[in-house]
Amino acid sequence: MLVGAWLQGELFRDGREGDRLERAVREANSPPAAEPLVVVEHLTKRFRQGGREIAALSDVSFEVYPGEIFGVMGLSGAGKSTLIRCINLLERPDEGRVVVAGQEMTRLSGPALMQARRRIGMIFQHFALLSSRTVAGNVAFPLEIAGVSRPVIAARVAELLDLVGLGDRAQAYPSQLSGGQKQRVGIARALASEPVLLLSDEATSALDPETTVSVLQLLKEINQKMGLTILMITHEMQVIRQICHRVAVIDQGRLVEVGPVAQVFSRPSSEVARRLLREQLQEDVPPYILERARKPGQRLLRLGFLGQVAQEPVVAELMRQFPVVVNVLFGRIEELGGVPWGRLVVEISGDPGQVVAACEYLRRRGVEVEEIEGASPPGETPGQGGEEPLREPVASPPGKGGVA
Amino acid sequence: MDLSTLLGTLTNPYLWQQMLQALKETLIMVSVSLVLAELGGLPLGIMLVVTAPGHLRPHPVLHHFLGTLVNVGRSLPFIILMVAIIPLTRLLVGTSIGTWAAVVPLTVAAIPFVARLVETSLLEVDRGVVEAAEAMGASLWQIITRVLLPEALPSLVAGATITAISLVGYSAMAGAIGGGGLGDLAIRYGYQRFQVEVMIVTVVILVILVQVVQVVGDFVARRVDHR
Ligand SMILES: Nc1ncnc2c1ncn2[C@@H]1O[C@H](COP(=O)(O)OP(=O)(O)OP(=O)(O)O)[C@@H](O)[C@H]1O
Ligand SMILES: [Mg+2]
Repeated sequence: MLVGAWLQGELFRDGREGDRLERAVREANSPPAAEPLVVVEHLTKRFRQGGREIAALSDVSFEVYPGEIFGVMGLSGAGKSTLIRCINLLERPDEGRVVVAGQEMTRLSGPALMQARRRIGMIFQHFALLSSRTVAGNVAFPLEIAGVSRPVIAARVAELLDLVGLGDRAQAYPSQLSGGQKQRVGIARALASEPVLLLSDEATSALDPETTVSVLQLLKEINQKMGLTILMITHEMQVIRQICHRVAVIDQGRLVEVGPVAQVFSRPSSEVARRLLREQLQEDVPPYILERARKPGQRLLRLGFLGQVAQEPVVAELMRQFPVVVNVLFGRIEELGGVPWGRLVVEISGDPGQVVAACEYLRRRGVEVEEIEGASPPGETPGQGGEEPLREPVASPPGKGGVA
Repeated sequence: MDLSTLLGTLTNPYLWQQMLQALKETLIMVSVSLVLAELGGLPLGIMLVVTAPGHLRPHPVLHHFLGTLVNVGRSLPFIILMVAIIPLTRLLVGTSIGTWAAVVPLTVAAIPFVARLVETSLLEVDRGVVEAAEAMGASLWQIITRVLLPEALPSLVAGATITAISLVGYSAMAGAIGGGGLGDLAIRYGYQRFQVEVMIVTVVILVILVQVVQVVGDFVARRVDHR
């Protein structure tokens, strides 16, 4: 098995990946120099429901910088929607501050709030298009309410529909469009008033995987070409992975983790992030491979190669240095926050002591190592008995490891 | 009633003249009171919706007050309402007898009815769409005129159709205070003079009228529906 060759040939054709990684890490460690576009400080929101009080958000603080795509993820009911609705004050927070582009939203009300909202675009899970208006009419809506003149509206609408690739559907009604097309209309509408910030509440959750990819691609393009800052919430890991630069994780109304996507995904520090990640990986790895891990005497490892380490023939070197056999069962390459991320599922066999040493070696080289336990009956250690477990929840010691 | 009497009645030009006049009166009563009732009922229905808890401008006191007003209006039997508001009718029309005088109680009775129908229609509008408009910085007035009403239009048209048909029925009762119309004709000839043929013909015309209103209403509702 020419793992090293595979890694070098397939995973890392581009020698510049290392630079990109370094940049990502630099950005991760030092906050961007620019002023934040969105400042959320000590945000708290409680709901009273049938005499009981639910803290939907508790003391949430974070910042979003101009030009970035910032993701917020969390399990269902974590408070994601409440959080994004507090940004444009669809929901008024009980405590804390929200500042968007220097303007303190939480102080505004009435016409001033209406004015401020016109600078923030928003897209929705269920599109929220007006069924009584055509595609063009929907995109024109925010301009109409802002009092823009008809000829200007017409020109701008045509331009926006071209941008989202729906130039030929201007006179169609939303009911005549597919989900992906509806969301494109939603995006065009959100961009109409030239916002400084785009909010996205689960914008792809109602779409099939392929459409999701194309809509995310569109958002990414808009972010890159127009420099538009995007704050998006989702419960889908792959959405974050595909387009976000930084991500915050919220759990039961609390912000438990925030950082560059590559960092949070490769070294999640919160239990929720780990859980979301594990679920995603579980979905990725074919079930028959996980099935193998159930068999006694099998040791399946999940290896993660993030950034620079991915450019080195680590597995090949491992097999040269240790008398163990590594059999690759599954491999996948993706991008994580602009950094290449290779993942392998391997079967490792050999003398137990050597296997442990080999794993140590991998970790030293900055590879994420996690044992797949399959569904071994409780109390039974996978593999040969009496050895220390290979699994280690939080991978490497701080300051060291894959991204260093 | 034999065939020759029926034929005799049906070929009587005087009767048809009467019928035509009655139809005209019915149409006036129904259309004028429909328009006035929509004018009164729409704002009332809109206020009921936006003052509701959790809606655009929650106002429990006003909401409750309007709701009670509508319920009282709807629970009064039409015949009693008609008599009770005679002073108002005199004030507005100058007389309490005739087609135009009948428009007043018909309108007053239909306003709360329309208000409830409007309320139901507007509540059906997707909250997500209303919220999207809020997020875009739309004012309350803009949301009402550019979101709520257009989005509810098919349902509002269906409601107006129901109102029009109910008004056809009520207008027959208004005949009792000299409002005229088809219902009045049917009662005068058919019931009081035992000319059953006349009653049958009037009823047939009323049935056709209701059918036409329904078909036209359905057609318009479909035309404005893009959902
Ligand atoms: N208007 C409301 N009234 C009462 N409780 C609410 C309201 N909105 C949200 N909540 C509660 O606040 C908590 C957070 O809800 P939120 O909708 O923000 O979660 P979420 O992370 O968006 O979940 P999901 O992924 O399912 O959309 C939940 O417990 C929810 O029941
Ligand atoms: Mg939500």
